[in-house]
Amino acid sequence: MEVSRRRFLSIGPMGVLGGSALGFDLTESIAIKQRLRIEGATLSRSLCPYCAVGCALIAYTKKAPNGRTELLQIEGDPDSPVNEGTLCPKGATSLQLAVSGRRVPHPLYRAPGAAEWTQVSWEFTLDRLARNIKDSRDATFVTQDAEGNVVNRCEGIAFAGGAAFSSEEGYLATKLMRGLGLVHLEQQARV
Amino acid sequence: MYGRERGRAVALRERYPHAREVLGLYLALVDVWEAADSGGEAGRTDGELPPGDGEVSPVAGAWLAWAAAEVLPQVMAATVAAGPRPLAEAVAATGHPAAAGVAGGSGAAAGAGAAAGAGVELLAAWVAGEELTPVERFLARATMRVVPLGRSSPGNAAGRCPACGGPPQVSYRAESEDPLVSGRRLLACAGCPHEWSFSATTCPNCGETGKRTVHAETGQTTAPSPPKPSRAAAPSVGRGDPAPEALFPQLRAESCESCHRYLIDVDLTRDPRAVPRVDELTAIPLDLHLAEQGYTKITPNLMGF
Ligand code: SF4
Repeated sequence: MEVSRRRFLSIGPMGVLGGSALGFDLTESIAIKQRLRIEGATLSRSLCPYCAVGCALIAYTKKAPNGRTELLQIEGDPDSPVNEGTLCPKGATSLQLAVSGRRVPHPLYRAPGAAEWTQVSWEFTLDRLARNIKDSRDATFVTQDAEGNVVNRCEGIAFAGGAAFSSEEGYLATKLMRGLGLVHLEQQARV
Repeated sequence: MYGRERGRAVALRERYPHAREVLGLYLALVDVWEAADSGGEAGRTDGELPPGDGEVSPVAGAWLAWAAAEVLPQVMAATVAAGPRPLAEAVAATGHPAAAGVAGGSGAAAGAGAAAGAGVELLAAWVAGEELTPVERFLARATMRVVPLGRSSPGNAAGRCPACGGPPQVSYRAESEDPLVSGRRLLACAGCPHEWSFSATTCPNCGETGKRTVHAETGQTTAPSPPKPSRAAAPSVGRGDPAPEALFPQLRAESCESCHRYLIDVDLTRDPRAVPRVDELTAIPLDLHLAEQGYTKITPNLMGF
């Protein structure tokens, strides 16, 4: 009998060999598959917001049953020529910027002379902030400098912006503070 | 040369009863590969196929003839002896002298020369990337494992093997000692022993850079704890610890939402003893899960999964 490639080709059509293409018994694997709990997480690329190094991040997210997107993990992107998968301790904890069990979810107030923080309402907080800003501005507003030039500036308040500011937040903050006459403005958003 | 593969396959055969058959056959093939490597190199220099055309050069032809005469019969005999019954019977039914006798094939008297000729044709067809049946593909792949032939033109295409142009079989993360450092992602070729670095966030099949999904085992199946209701069922992805009591702590699957293809991903940081090509063979339950979700592996592995 001559063995030819035709002969090779005619053997083992799909399905004839049972469960798998080559006839392996899949009973146990199917049982395990039914027992395994496997979930999918979406992988996205991002950038560490903290400093001008601009390390690249990989973020893993998942849609929660309530429709919200849940952040599961953030780590260095090994593809980035900037950080090659590494992160400094600040960047490595950037998950907590978004998700932290220790975040304080409401305003706290420590009255002058008091030893304790008390929980207060947002209304109280915003009123109080506005009052203090107005009082400080009124008390420290300078209309003329030593040479008699008109300057109209507030020297008694400084503004420090966050590293994680977006461009829009940075623009808004600068506009607002300049509107109040502030000259001491700084923020770290550089990425 | 195959010491790590063999050791890992033996260890995983103990750990994963569901993969006993697959790893048993794999170990039988490792014996064949090892014997072929030590006996076959003599007198043959490197025989790369000329890139581009489908012609088999004389040097490459010599390799194919050697493989068809020396390795293919061993692969068939090992398959008949250690393979699952349907596969063993299918191989025995070819009537090839190597398979005959062991499983009662009817072609014991067939001329060895004719068998070798058919073998060369089969191997050449595999090298040329022709459509083959699963059993033929298995036999050709298992045989060509020990033949240093390049296939088609070395790939410049993203996600294809830079040495032979073949598709990736498995993805893995290099081990990193520092917990703040993510290891690089590498791909191992399905067609040759080559491995290469590849973007961790790009689909090796279609090049899509967004829409990547990582499928991983989740934590306990018990009722979620009250403070973080949804987190209990979160997949343990990235460099985090594996889910407690995970069956496959070192394995994940990575799929693309554009082309719906996936690869098994082995994390060497989670298990430094893992051997990606061997560990990938044990991921059958993950493969079944992904198939159920509508994904296809970029290319099936040697055992057809
Ligand atoms: S990880 Fe550290 S060094 Fe890198 S951008 Fe963030 S803060 Fe800067």
